[in-house]
Amino acid sequence: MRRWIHAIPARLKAIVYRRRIEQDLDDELAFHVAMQARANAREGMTDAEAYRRARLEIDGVEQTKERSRDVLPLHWARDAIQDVRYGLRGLRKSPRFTVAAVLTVVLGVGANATIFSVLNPLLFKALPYPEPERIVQVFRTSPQSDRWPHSMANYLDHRARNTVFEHLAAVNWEDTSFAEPGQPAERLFTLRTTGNFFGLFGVGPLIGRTFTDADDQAGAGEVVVLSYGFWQRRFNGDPTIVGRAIRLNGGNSTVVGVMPRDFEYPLFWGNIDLWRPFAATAQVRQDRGNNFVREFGRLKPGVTPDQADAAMKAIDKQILAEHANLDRREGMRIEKLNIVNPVMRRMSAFAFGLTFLVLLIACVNLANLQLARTAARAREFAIRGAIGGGKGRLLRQSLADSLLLSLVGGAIAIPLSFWCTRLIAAQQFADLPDVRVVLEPATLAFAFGSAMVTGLIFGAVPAWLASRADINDVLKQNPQSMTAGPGPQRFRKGLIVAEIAFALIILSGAVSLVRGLQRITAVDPGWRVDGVLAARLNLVGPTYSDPVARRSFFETLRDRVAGIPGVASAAVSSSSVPTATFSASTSFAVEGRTDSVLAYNERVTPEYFATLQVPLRRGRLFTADDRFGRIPVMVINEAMARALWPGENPLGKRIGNRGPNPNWREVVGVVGDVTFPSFGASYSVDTAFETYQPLAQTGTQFVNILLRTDRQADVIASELRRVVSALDRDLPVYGLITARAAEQRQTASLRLLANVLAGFAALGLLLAAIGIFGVVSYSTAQRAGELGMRMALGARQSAVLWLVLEQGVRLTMVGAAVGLAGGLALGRVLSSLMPNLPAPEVSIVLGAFAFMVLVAIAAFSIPAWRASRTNPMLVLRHE
Amino acid sequence: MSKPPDLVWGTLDLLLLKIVALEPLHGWAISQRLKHVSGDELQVSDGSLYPALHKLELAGWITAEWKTSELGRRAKFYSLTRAGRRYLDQETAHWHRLTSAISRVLALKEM
Repeated sequence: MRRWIHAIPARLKAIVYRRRIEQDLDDELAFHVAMQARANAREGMTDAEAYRRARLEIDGVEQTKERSRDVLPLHWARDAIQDVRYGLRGLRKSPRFTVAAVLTVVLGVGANATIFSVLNPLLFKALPYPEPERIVQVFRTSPQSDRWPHSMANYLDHRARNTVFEHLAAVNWEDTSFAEPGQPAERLFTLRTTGNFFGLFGVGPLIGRTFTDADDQAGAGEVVVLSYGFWQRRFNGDPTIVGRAIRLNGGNSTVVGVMPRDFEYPLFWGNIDLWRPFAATAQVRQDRGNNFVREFGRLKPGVTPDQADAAMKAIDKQILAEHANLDRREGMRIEKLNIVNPVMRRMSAFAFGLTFLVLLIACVNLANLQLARTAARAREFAIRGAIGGGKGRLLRQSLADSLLLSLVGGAIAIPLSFWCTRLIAAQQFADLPDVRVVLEPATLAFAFGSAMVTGLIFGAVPAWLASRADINDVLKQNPQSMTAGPGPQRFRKGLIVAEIAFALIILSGAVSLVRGLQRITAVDPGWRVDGVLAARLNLVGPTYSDPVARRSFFETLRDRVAGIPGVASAAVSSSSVPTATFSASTSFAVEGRTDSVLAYNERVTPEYFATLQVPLRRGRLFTADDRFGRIPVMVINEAMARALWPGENPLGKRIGNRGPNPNWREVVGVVGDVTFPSFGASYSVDTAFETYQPLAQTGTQFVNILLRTDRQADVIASELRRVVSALDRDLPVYGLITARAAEQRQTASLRLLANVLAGFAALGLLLAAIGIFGVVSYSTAQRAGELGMRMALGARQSAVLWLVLEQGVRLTMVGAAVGLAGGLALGRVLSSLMPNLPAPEVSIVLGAFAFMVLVAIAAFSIPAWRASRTNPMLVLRHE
Repeated sequence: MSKPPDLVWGTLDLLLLKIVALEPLHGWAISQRLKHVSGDELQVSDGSLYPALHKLELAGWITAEWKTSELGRRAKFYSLTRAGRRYLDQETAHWHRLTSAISRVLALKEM
């Protein structure tokens, strides 16, 4: 402690009188040399010799000065400023190197920061609820899917019997019509919940209160909790909203609370306007056939998801044992709450891994360029070393250069990736305006950090290699014919091989994934997507409380819509276009079987099959005669017919409700399978069991209008609105969308991923090509003397071309072979992550290989060609 | 260019302080005195002398003053400060303790 106190005055003086100290140093050493020379002269040396010896004995005047300066306080700051100044000067002097290096940093760092920002909310963010790791989802499984919903009765059993959850809540997404007197009706996105829902997620209201179990009782007064967004949008954030009655579905509901903004998490929940309790009737509470609720659980402290999984499977076994008519093949499964499904998560992680490979190529490039440049500057360094620049100082200069490049590159890359992030986010999350995808400080730090580390590591290695060169050797060499020593030479070849290998790995990884995704999404959906337009209606309120009134309404509606000019056919159905799933599934009883069969349960008007062009395989479709009072009928899909009655005629078989009152329906027709990509635990094409019933024999509250037309969608859309408002002025038409758009929305994230991957592959190739081109240009320039000599002695241009190219071809083949092996290994990883992803065709992999070889050879050829065209006389004169 | 392994690490400081403690001297004279008093046993290159002096100066143990030298040329003369004196005493004592301890160990008879 005391020691440095004495040092303060001297150090302060050294900082303040910086310039005088430099002068003192000069004078002091000059004095020493003069004195020593005088002493030497007295021993009989000539004056010149005496001076030379005196300077030698002090180990070189400049060197000693430099070491004395290193003792001074803040010398590192002075050195750093000087390094940066030299660095900038050097970079200005070699613009081609600077541009290539900066471009490399920009591409590498920019791509990483962008991808990190886009994937960040999907991969690395937990949901914004307390202790999110304790929140899980409970799914029902069957041979067809592992993400089924539950029936209310089963949910209540799960809730009552489990000992692993602090809370087990059920939810269901619904639409609600909101119509204040004198205002046009609006459809609200609603989440029906059990009373414990908010308690489970552990977030309290912004104002008012959330639900209690009492609110969830049948017959309790209708209460709702508003989302922050809806409260702001429709009520301008009115603080007196609590206690107010609003008109929902034609009845009065009391607002009891408003949730804080962060509670909505549209990336997971979708847009939510309000929450309503189920308040399920006794009938619904006892129903085990209608599976429509999703279960969320909060684990008790100390309970692991695996324990909960085992516990719930045991409860499921009990329930199956107690109810003979449940499907034996069903099961139960617990999944930790994630924002995106596991498949997307794994694929995103995979894509993210590939970005690191891109960054790696960028690093290799930097190292290569830096290496070429340090070798070219070996003479400069040697001279600087000879006149007093210490080795450490020169090493530091190289590092300073690298860091400068990284800084400049990073400074360009960050605004660029900010812009790209916004662009991608706007595309990807267009439907979810509240989703905030932003370049966060952490991402910025990540990007900048990676740029800096890249610069440091890949600046240090070449500089270290250069610093090993012997000053005398370097100075003795002719500057034109000088080549780097064998160490850097081998290192550089290794880098080129690595670069080609990495680029090919990325290319084959991207190609495999993109091709796999293509093949999944290109699966025949079983109906004709183009030309179909869909819209939704919500038939609620007193006008539609009578099922007969509802039926007559949608029949009139269908006829009017079909009458719109240009509409080939129109149908009404319970689900929208089947791009992702049908909206409901039911456990049916099958005559002659003890267990029940889980199948989609779609209710349609007869024109449905013609409108979507689902082909009839056997029997007949529905007719206008299939209505109440006639024999209840059903149409099923081929997969179901095959599975239930293999080798038998399914027509005339009967399917009904479980329980004492089956209300058998006769199978009258078999239609083709409607398929859609499924995002289960594995990525597969879902060909589930599908049943259709005549809407005229069942009825539904939410109806979808589907129509087929060859006219412009927006023209038809406005006609459709006109038709509906002529029937009921207060009925909102919403969700107008073409089937093609709905399908594309479904696969948007997949397509984004495919595009990102294709982008990576292109980027990797580009970087590798830049790197090869830069290094080969440099090395041929180094060999200009030798090549010129050969040509002067009569070597042909083609011979010289081959001389240069030969090495390139060798390096390319080695790199591509390594890359091919790596690509195959990556394919293994990919297929273990996504077992159902179709493996890429051999031709695709070989194509990637060939393309990579072509690009690499091209990158080698240009500088080789240029070298072969140089005028030998020019080169020789230069010698 | 490397220094001969001549000095126990850290002892150059001690020697310089002691030499300067006897009388204020300039760098060249210190270098001569070093060579003179230690004979050929201790070789300190002139190149490492000046950085070492400057380090001591910055530490506050010695102070420097420009004065006219014996030849009429201005030279930088170093002298010991009071803090330097205390430090030298302390380090000298420490040195004696260390060397006598080492001597005692080396004097042990082998069995």
